[in-house]
Amino acid sequence: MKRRREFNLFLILMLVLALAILAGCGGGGATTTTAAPGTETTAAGNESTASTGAPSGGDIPIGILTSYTGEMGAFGVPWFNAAKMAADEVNAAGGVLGKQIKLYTEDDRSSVEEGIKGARKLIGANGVVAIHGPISDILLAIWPIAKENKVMATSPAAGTTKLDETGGDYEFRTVPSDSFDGKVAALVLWENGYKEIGMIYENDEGRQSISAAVRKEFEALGGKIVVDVPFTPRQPTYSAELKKVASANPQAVWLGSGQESGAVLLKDAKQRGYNWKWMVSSDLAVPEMFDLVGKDTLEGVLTEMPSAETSTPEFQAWAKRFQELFNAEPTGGFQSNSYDAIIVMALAMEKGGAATGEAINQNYRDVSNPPGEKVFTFKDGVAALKAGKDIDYEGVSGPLDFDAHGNVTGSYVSMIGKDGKWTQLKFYPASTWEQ
Amino acid sequence: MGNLNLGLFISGIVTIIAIYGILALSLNLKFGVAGLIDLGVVGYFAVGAYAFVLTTAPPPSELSHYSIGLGMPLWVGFIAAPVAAGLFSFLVGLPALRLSGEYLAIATYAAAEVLRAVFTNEDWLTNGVVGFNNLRQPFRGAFASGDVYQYFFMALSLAVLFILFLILSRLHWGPFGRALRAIRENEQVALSVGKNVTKLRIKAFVLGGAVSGFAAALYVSFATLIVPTMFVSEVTWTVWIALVIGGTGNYVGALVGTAVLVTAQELTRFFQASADLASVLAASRLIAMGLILIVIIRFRPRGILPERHYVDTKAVPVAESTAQAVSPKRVVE
Repeated sequence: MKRRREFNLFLILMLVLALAILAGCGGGGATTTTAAPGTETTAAGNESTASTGAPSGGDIPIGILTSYTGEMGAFGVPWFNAAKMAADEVNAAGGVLGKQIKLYTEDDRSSVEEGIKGARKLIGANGVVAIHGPISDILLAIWPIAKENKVMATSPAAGTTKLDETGGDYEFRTVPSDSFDGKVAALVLWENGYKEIGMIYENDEGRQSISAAVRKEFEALGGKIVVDVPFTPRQPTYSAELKKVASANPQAVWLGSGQESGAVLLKDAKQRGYNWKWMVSSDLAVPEMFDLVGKDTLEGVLTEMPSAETSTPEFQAWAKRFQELFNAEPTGGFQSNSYDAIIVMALAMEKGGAATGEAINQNYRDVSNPPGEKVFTFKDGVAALKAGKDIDYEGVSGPLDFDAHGNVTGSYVSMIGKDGKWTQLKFYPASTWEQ
Repeated sequence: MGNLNLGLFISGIVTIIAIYGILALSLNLKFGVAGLIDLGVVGYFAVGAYAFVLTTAPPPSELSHYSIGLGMPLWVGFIAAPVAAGLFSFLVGLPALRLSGEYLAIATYAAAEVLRAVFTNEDWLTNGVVGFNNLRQPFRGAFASGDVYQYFFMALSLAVLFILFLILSRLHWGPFGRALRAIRENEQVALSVGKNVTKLRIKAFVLGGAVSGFAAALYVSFATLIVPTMFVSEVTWTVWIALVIGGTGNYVGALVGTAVLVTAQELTRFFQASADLASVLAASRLIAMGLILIVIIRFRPRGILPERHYVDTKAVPVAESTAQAVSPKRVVE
């Protein structure tokens, strides 16, 4: 009798605790969101809020399925904001085929199961023509459902290499695949004169696929990988792994890792007196690294990262608008990629003459790839389309030229550590990859 | 505008209810009937899921890291999943069932967490964090329309749930269930009448694990992909909450609890105001779940549908309800 009651008490405590922890995770996501002023009149919402302007002939529902809570919780609101900005601009310019875009949103909680449930709700209960916003795993999970229902599935950030050769049908990404990261790294190493390199990288999906790309590209250029060492992250020391690399005596070493492990590993190598030339993956190309390992360690270290052509007037103007609307920097978090996806979809529907996922699927390449008149905004794009011209939308995140599998090629910069800062070495426009 | 397809939404919810319902049945056998606090629900579930995938996935290509992909028919997977989950339950249960109450809870929880780390890191077996996608779905080829297939899959899940429910209910009212309840209520008494307590517990544990293997096979077929992050402890908590809401010790209660929990969660989707609030609402959804749980436990401490007893509990004071075995007043069955 007493045991049973103890059981129950224990049980209640455990469950309440578990919920509190889960809610805490959610709360963490919530606090990182920047409160967006003036978004009360948001285009999202189910019944409550209508989009600005008088809709004629109904709305075009688009679903934003993204992570407001969970591991990726910090990204949800910026991506939604960017998508909303695009939708508002489209609507202000008269909408698509005279109809207003209306956004519906669901939280995927960074989880595959919640993503599937959210996608089914958006398709089933809101009748969306497209779902935009999920990360790699979730995009892969919802894509078959979307395709079956003729709903476009797009992401501003899903870098998975699994879609490189298979995507494109009712799916596109406005971010380059992870495999480009590897290509860039190999090219930068080669251009800096290294012929024999070693590779050491964290044992996870992103880093593994990048390392495979580094190898492929570097060997294609004529270089040689002399040693290849994957490692388990979050170890107190990496001396065994470093010894393995040292035994092959490489000229330079490519390091693919997160910040935590990367910092420990770089410090370890420095202490042991291994003076290789380092090339580190884009995860480490952040200013915080200098605080973590000290500027001496990073002096002369190479890195690369995807970067929009931030110097263009179009990007600058867009960034200013974003800043004014949401009081937040639009860089480093795929906001421009999210914005572009909505504009491409709107233009594709306009061109297809129908507000459907089918129209987007058939036309998204047409409106964003050459040949055609280069346009930078939805308004100009519509005007050109109405004038009977072919258009090539140039996005704020890049030129947005999709290949047959819905992938874009991106622009990158190579950088070098100098006096406690990452300094730009060379800009690689997206055209570098067009061969 | 757009083509509404409420069937897609609803069939998805019902499928999820069926899958979690199976897990709730499994937990009810272990905790509700046998009194074993098992916080490792997701562990057996994950083993079943990977067993299903590894037996049915195509052989590895040069780009993948996994080395086993047997490419067998799906029905083999549907057998392999419960077998593997049961086997894993046995391995966990063998040492863990010597522990009682809270200690068992911690041991099973730890086993599930360790397992997730293994699945994340052992590339050669599980393809690591990359996992598998594009998984085949049972009988998919027989349906031209994806819509019709969604209903079929829902029906399939419900059928599996129903069959397992029948089997477990039958066991519940037979000697096996009776012995388990006896052990739960008073281990010493059960021992004194010659019941092999450890053996019975292991049986319940393994059977429960195997049942969750069926849920796992359905789950990955539904999701069409598998990655280690699908098997976090949240699955365990969801099942526990469903069981506590529904009524521990009652298989119908377990299903009612699951249906109430999942439906309540899905309904909250329609209360969202805007995306700025979405993050706040998502967090408050979990808080609301906690409140429902507390309210249920406060006012219906034994769940929506409490356990049916051989003895009418109304005839004896509630505080002594467990003493009924010693002083039966009115026999119900």
